[in-house]
Amino acid sequence: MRVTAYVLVADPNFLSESLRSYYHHVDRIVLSYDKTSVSWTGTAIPVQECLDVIETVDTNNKCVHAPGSYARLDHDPLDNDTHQRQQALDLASEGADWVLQLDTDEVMLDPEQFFRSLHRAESLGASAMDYPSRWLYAQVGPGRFLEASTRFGRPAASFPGPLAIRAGTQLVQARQAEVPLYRVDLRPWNTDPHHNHGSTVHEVISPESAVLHYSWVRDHATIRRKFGWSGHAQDYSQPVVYQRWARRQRRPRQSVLTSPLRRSEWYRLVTVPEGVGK
Amino acid sequence: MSLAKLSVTVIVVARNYHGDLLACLKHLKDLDTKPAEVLIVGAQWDDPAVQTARQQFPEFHFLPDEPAEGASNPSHDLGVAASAGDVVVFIDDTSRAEPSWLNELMMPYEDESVAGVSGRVANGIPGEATNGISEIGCLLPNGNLTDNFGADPGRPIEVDHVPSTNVSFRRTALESIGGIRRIGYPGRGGRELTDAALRLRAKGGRLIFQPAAVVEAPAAGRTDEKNRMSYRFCYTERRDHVMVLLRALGWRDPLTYRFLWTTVREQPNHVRKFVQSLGRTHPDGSRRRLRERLAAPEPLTWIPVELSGLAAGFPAAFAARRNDLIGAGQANSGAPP
Repeated sequence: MRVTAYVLVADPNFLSESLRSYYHHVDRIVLSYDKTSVSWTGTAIPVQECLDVIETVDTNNKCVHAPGSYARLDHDPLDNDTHQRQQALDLASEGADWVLQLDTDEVMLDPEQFFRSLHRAESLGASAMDYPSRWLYAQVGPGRFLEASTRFGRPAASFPGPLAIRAGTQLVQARQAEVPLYRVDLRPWNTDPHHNHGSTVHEVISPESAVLHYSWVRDHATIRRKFGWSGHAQDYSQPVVYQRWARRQRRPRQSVLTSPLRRSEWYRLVTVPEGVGK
Repeated sequence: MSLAKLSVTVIVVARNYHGDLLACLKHLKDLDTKPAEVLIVGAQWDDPAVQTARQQFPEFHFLPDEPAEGASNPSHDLGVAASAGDVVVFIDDTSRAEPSWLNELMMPYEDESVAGVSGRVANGIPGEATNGISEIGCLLPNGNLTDNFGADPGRPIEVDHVPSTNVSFRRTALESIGGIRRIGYPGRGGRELTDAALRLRAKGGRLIFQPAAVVEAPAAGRTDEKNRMSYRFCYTERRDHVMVLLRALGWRDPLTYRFLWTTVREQPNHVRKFVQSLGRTHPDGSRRRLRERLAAPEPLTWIPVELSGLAAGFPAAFAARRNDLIGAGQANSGAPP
């Protein structure tokens, strides 16, 4: 089975850890970026800084540069997201059976398990693999994070889209595609509160084998910038979103203890071992 | 062992749908590649269709039906015992095989690690070829077994269990698990094959679903659809599901207990249906008739049916496993099972 990957080059945070976690398991990595270093919403993004980081990781010359014009400001940011991903996916599909589509802040904790699941998905005839991400909300101390959970603090998966997809697939929105899915989860029943209660789970893995998504783990200045360039900028740029994030980061225990009282946005405190992805 | 050296026995399991047997046998006679032998088991000899079939197809062997005792269903095991092929293929009398069917079904056996191969069962239901492509014959972590054997994934894939028709096993693989069980699944046919498939998988055997090996089985679709609406069907489905998991995987395997929890988690759906049917009007604003309102509690009646089916699965599995052990003991001592 030939596996390639594509990455959207825009955010240097956790980029090195993310790439290193699957670098030795793929044949080629397509680097997709805007050649003018402008984001989907028109803000500046540190593309060159990212490329410098990638150069240090790419010891076997697997990375292929694919610059393009993706700052189409007359389009919705999510449409731009889908457009750029589709272009990158088409390039990565050449000579491949499967293409990984991890964001640069998503780190595989257990690549062996990930690729075992991918082989199982292949043998069952699936065309995409939903693999659980543990969504980290904020860093509250050295190695300590607030992580999205169930209402009562059990591990919860999040599925931003298939993390592996069959080569040549047509994307519908961002990473999503309407193809037969192989779904891996943290329990035999769906753990993602945003997904249907009865979603089929094909395989169960432990939280230690999931993908860590350092989604909002940034310093204050970076998180404000990220909210500006994200595909979800319209929602995230509301002042209350940042204020809530800053307050919860300041008072993590309170955020955890009050979780059962909220209708959504439940968190637990977790320790992530040093050196993940290195 | 090369494919050319494998001899094939096709076993037709007669479920006595009048008139279907003749059509099934005619399709078997027209196959591109002829099997070494065709056996027909389970047929009621006094049925005029069976008498006609015996006259029209003298080259096929009709085995006298063995009277079923209690919960026994001996047809599959009888067929295997009377057959000589390296590969035994099961097909029921509602199935019509395409001319290339047997060739396609045998193709995966080139790989010696393959213990069994099943094919596609086209029931003639709209959309069946595309529905559930990633959920064909799966044993899910929540204990559910998925079917979707009418789906066409476009290439051979691995599965955990098999349909009730259009299934084949390597004889040596069946012998390694002690054959197909005769006793214990009084509900709808085919659980014996699921049981055998799960035991083979538990021993590390590979089962392949070959979508190019197609049989059409329109009658099976009609009958299932009618039966699925009955309390009896629902009860036996739950009971037999618990039984097949416990017998094939053992008491310590968590899948049976997960299946219990899965079923319990599904019960609020009945309550939700009941609540939705309480109002004076339908969601589209039209007025609900008195008869409909009086029938509103009907969804709640499925809850005791499903849960009692689950509960009944445990003593039934206990008794069946005891019989399995006695049977295994007799087999080891040389006594007849």
